Amino acid sequence: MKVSRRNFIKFSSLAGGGLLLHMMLPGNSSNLTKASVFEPNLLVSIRSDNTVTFTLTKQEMGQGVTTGMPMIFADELGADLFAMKVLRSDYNAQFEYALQGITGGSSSIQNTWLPLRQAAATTREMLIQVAMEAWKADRRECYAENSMVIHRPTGRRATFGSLSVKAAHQPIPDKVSLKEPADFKYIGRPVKNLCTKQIVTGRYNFGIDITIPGLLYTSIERAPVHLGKIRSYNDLHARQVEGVVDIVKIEGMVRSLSVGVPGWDLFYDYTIEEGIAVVATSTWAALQGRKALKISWDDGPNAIAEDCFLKANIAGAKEADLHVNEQKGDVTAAFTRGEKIVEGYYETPFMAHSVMEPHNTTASVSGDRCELWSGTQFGKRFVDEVSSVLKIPVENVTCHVLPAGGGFGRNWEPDFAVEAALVSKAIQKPVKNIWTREDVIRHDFFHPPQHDIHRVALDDQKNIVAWNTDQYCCFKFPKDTPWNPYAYAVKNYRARKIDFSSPVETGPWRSVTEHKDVFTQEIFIDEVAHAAKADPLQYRLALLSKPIQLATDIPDRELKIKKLEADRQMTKQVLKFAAEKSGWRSKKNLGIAVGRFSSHCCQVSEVEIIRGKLFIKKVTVAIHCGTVVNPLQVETQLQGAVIFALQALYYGKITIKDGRVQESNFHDYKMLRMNEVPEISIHIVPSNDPPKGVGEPGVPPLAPSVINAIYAASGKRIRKIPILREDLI
Amino acid sequence: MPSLKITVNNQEHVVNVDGQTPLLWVIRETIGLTGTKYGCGIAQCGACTVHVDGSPVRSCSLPVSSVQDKKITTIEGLSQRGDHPVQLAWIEESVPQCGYCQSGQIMSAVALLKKHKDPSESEIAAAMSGNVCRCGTYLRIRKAIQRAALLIKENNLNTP
Repeated sequence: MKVSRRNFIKFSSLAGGGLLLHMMLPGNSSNLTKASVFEPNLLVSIRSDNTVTFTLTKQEMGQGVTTGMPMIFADELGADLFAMKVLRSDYNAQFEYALQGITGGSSSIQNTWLPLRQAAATTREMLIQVAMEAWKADRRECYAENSMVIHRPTGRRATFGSLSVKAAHQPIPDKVSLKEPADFKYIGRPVKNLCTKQIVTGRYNFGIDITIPGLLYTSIERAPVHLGKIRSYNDLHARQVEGVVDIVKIEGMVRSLSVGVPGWDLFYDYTIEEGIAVVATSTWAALQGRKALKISWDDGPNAIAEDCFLKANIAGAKEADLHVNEQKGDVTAAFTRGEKIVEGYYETPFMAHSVMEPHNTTASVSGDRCELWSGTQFGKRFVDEVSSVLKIPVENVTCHVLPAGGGFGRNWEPDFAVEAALVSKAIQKPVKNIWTREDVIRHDFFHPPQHDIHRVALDDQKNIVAWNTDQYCCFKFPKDTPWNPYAYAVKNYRARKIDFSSPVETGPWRSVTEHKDVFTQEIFIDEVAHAAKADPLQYRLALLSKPIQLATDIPDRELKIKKLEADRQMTKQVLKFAAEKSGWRSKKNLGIAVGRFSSHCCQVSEVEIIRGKLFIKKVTVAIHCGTVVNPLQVETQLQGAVIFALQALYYGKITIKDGRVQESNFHDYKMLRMNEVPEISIHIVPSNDPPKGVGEPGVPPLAPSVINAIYAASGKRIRKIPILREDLI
Repeated sequence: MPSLKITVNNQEHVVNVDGQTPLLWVIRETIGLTGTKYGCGIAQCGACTVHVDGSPVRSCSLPVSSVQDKKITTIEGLSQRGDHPVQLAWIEESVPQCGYCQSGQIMSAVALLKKHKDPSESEIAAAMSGNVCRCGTYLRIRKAIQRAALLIKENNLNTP
């Protein structure tokens, strides 16, 4: 790696696809005058008292970056992880996308792995250089550990702090080498959540816990139907509630938003729903004031929407409306030649994120400046949107990114921050916008429903000769094509899709879009295996081992085949690993399913159906996530993902009637509770590949694995979630 | 507004709030102890669990006027140094993910261990099923409760 000394250095991040990391060097006078602090880049400062402070650029929402990223950095730097301070960074435009950007897509560890190590290694080499010069030692004799540089032959040691003043004047090394995996001290070892002490003593501050002088509170009554408008309102009684200080009307608006990922040229619309904000001296007073509002609503274009709208739209759709996303061979012709047709229709519903910490943002607007405090997954978007809506310069908006009580994709939508900023602008005072649980459930950006029709033709040898997938959804991210590793070996394959417009907001949910696709495909392939009278595991493995079918004239054919082959290999690895660990050969009532979201993940569920009631006894999980940074973290994320997916399986459906979301709180939108959790056994495929994500890949395989197990146990084929009692009788 | 006297973590506070205000908001916004969380407002998730005279209650649904003469303990008052056996067990088992529900989980667990020195898995599940964790830390919570029970027993502690 070549690092040049200039005002800043640029590192190429392999994982980020050639994105650049800019890091300020101590070249400017302000840094040099603070002689006791060594700040070689924006990620770390080392004080002469040996305090090492690491700047955490990603947001924490339970996925464990506050432990994982410091582990990587401390390991490469040679710092004492447990003595290192971790400072949560505000949104900072100086950080390149790979290092801060969106916290989502299970990408944090994957994208920051190399930039963190490169920055840490550069810092380490500058410290070692100072020690080497003082000791007249050779580089090979020195190493860094526990925030010290150590001279191996003599045992001499110098703390980072004692070297920091001189290190600040060191030239930036042109080339640094990274540690060999054998030398890792923390990476690969189970490290407990570094935040736990703060959490268990109630001293860990989420966005909702922020308080600032003069803070007021607001609760907003929003349009009960998406895109509804206020006809008229009366706030007389609301204003009489003790503690209520102001009422602010929020004008509904639909705004276009960049998806925000470099290289992905996608804009989509999102809505700030129309509403009335009650501002008060306490949350309780704001809530009481809100109850006293009288609003007459024009329900607008979604006034009669029902959650079954998708079925009606599908019935009215013409074949020509289906957009062909992927096609090879001649599917239509091949179907006419097939001996046997297998077909299935699968459904996933609207589902809510239901994060534990109700959405909130504190905003303080004063003139043309705005300060935000929020548990956002995407600080840049919050700053950009608030700047744009308030028509103030983007550099005048700051965003303090706080830990969130869950995110799952909901906390990258900026609606609640824009609301807070609008209210604060109107009253020119700091205000905390707190959503109620009912707001959180009813005004979610829901997991969109999707109906898929899979159809294959088998020849007389039970080989798949044609496969067609038609997907009907209402998601605002157009997606190319579902991941289908089985189709690599199918000569005639076609994937088509229509995205209808949705009567409620939709957005990425834990695993973004993968859950819907894997759900349908993994049930379907199970059905095909049974139709072919084959073992579902062996049938999958056989399909994944046949020659890859790719037209001879496509560009980069060899490279593409190589990529597909690597993908199939990992798919097979996790399938075999989960099967072996679950006792696939010897046990009954098992169902298997595999998915890919960053990492490949396979699950085997073991079920029992007693008097028409489903009992999930055990879920065995295998994951291929490359180098494991923190095995404890992998385990907790996968346990969590299974439990998240179980909630969807049992209770996930959101109902819409007359445009209104019917569920409102945990009594009618149930969460999974402790007594409903099965045994979960986690297995990691050993690998030296660069690390991949683990927060989301555990979600998609769960539901199809359970449904396939139900078939194995009872012969009942379920093709939708949630599973209801009547589905089992 | 009426002036009410409440005792939180052995400290007396005089607060000027509407007596119908749920204890949760008084603890969080008036007194400024933010370890107790708002989750649902209807006693369904347990994030707001505190102890009133030693018993676990959902502070989001309890009017402050009803606890005037009672002793309220929040997560901040559970121990002086964060070394209550349940807190230690939570650290040891690395329970939290996002951490938002954990104050409530811990307050429920402490109350359980007061009643049952050595709770079975089903007793744990029954006592803890009022507390929702969206991250899905339940298996670790169960292990931590078992560890805490052991810690209390080994050190011959009276359940604090």
